[in-house]
Amino acid sequence: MPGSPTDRCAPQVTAFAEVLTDENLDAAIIAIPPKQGADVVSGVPEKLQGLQTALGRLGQEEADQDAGTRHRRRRLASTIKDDVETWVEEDRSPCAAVPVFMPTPKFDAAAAAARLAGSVAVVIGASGPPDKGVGRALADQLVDAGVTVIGTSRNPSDPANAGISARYDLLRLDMSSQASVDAFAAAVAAHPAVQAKGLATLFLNGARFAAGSPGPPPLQDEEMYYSGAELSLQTNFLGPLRVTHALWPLLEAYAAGAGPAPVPPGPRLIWTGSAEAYAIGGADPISYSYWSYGAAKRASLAYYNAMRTVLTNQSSPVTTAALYPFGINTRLVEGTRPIFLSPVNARGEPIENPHFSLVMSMYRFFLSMALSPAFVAAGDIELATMADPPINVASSSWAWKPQGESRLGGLQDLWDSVHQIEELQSAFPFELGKADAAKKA
Amino acid sequence: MPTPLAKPDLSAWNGSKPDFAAWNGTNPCAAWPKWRPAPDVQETWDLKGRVAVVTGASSGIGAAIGAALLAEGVHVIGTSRTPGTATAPFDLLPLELSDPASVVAFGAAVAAHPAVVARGGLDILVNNAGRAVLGPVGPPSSITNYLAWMAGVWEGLQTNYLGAVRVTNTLWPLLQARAKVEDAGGVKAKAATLKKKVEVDKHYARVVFTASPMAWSSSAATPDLWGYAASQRALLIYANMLRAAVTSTPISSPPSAASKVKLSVLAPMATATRLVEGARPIFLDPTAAATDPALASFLANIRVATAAGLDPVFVASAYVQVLKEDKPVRIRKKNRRERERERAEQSSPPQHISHTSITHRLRMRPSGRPAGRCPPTSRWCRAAPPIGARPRSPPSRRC
Repeated sequence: MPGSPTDRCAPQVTAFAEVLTDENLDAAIIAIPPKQGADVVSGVPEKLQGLQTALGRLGQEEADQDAGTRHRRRRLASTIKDDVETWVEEDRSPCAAVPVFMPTPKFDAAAAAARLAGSVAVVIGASGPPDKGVGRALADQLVDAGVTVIGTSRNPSDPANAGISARYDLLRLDMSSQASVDAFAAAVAAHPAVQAKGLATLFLNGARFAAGSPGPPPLQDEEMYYSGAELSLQTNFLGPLRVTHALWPLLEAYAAGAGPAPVPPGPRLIWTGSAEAYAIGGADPISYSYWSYGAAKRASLAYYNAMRTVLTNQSSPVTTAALYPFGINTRLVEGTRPIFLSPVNARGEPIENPHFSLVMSMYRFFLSMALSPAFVAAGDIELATMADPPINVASSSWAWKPQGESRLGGLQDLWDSVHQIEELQSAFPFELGKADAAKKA
Repeated sequence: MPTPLAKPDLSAWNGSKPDFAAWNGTNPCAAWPKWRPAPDVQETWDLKGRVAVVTGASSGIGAAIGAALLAEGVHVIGTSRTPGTATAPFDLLPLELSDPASVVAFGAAVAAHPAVVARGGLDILVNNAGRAVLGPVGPPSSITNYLAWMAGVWEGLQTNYLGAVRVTNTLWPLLQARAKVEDAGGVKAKAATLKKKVEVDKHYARVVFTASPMAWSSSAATPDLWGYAASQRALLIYANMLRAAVTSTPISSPPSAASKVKLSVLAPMATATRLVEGARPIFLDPTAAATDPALASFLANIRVATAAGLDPVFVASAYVQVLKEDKPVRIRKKNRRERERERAEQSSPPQHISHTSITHRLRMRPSGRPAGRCPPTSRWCRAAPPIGARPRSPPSRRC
């Protein structure tokens, strides 16, 4: 790994400080990440020089400001300086979110993927440069292990996809369109590798990010707002449903033994969700601007959880699992086609919207130091090769506690706590229990 | 508040399907309240004379909310898909949530409504309308009519989620107009009491969303309700995040009327309404609904659960209570800095008063060192370590 996390983080902090302005300062205070688990990087306070310089600029008095503005600026600057002092005191910093844990030493992704060698896998959304996409990293790891991969892209002829065709086939697919899904399913069924060996694994990985404030009105562009919210649902929720339905006959045929002997653990569908599926709100712009994305991912969660129950009850040979990664260092916000719910220009940059500008710069800031795509892809492979995968699994390094051989098991306590919170919020079982307890008392 | 009823005696019930006809409209299980008002709630937001829109008010919870608000002296405007066929003691405007054009027309009708014109805006919006979304989740090979199934999924989301989004956005200017009017008087009222006591700022408009506890469910235990859970959770996410967006207006800009519109979410338990029974549930696979024995038994169970659910009148009383409450509940847990600041403020009141609502006041730090006794946790009051003292131990590395 080139340089320590501290060194890698310093330019990000400086860049972040430079986007701070009067308009977005309040949001920025809230958005600076709190302490993240035990990933404390010592020695970081010295690297905060750029941030402190920017804050000092904000505290200066300027002649053209009225007294109220001057007062607010002074107070804000002193608040942020207090924050920085607190980081120094407590030996933490914005860079504490840098993942310092990477793959579990005992888990060998290559060896796990080798168990699928000789089979065929479809990876949705396997385009882009090698280090900037989960689908691409996943497809590369599978190809290295000897798996025949059929990848998809909305635009296979994109220059960013150069060099992919030498490793695996890249078919055109836009999940928001039923016609495109139908054409893709026909192409997969007619693919020589699928005809010879059947389809063993389906990685539902593609997603399009949707960003924009939910309100309050007046909306800057009503048409963009509603079409963006619908497109987010079409791509991130109905899209995986469409592909699941279109390729399901192939998975069932594989279970029936249409081709050579099935590779263990049999046909499997892995849906890559998002930790946002479990988010329920947030007071900072970076949290509430993904409302549309979170709603779509949560709807998919309901579908795959319900379906898994039905498949288990019916003892279906096709099994499913879902992975919920936290932020990943991909082109989700940057390069590919995110869905915007606020006005942007042709390059995807916001038009006269300081709030949205701040949100996007913060996204770039956080995602640039988030999980690596290869790390998340290895989690996908582990789920695909486990005999009995857990129903919902997070992929994160922030709360990472290695336990046993599985990278996933270490997150179980985190996930349990998430479920406990959800159950506490859900009144149904608890209120009944409380009523009984009150009656006994 | 309705008088609490005695818990019904179910000892004679043998577990079979209840005889709904014999109940003749009275629900023996309606006396299981899951919600009670907090004992210390201040009911100081006077509802009298306000104007409210309640969607889906032709039956069920919406009709009960309308009646309860009417009894509080609120001018109620209800909505229905078919206003001609329902009778209500208040106006019913036509509204089909899954149709954007209908929402636009509804917005215009509300803006032109005499009560809204006379009031100069809208005080209360209750997003209540919803449709049950029922049907098999899969496996895909068992879905006999894929296109109808997909259309049902989409219609459920359009109605329960995007419909509420559209209504809220459409009526927002009316709510904001009312909040602005109230604010004009609010500043004066606050100025008059500045030196006495900090009054809770109660000049705002209100939006209440109706979600379902299913929104917190992962659907693993109730696969046939997955479509309903998905749409309700999407609505919950929107409501929570809109509230966050409204309340976290940058304080470097002047306080806007937008932050004067307060949002709440209520998620009633299963309630004895026609959600599943009489009104139009969305069946994800209409053919399977008629022929699938598993789904038929599931539907029978749902009917029992809803028929034995809460009394809509009781649920409506919760809405009235929430609307009367002066201080809406915070959705975000305070972080360490905020807790510390709050403790400091409790022991020594702030020397200045914020220009905006109480939410903002709690987020601000009084400038300078607070007067009075210092709490030991306060950062301003940390004494310098004595000369020769050992340096502070490093912070704990526990996760």
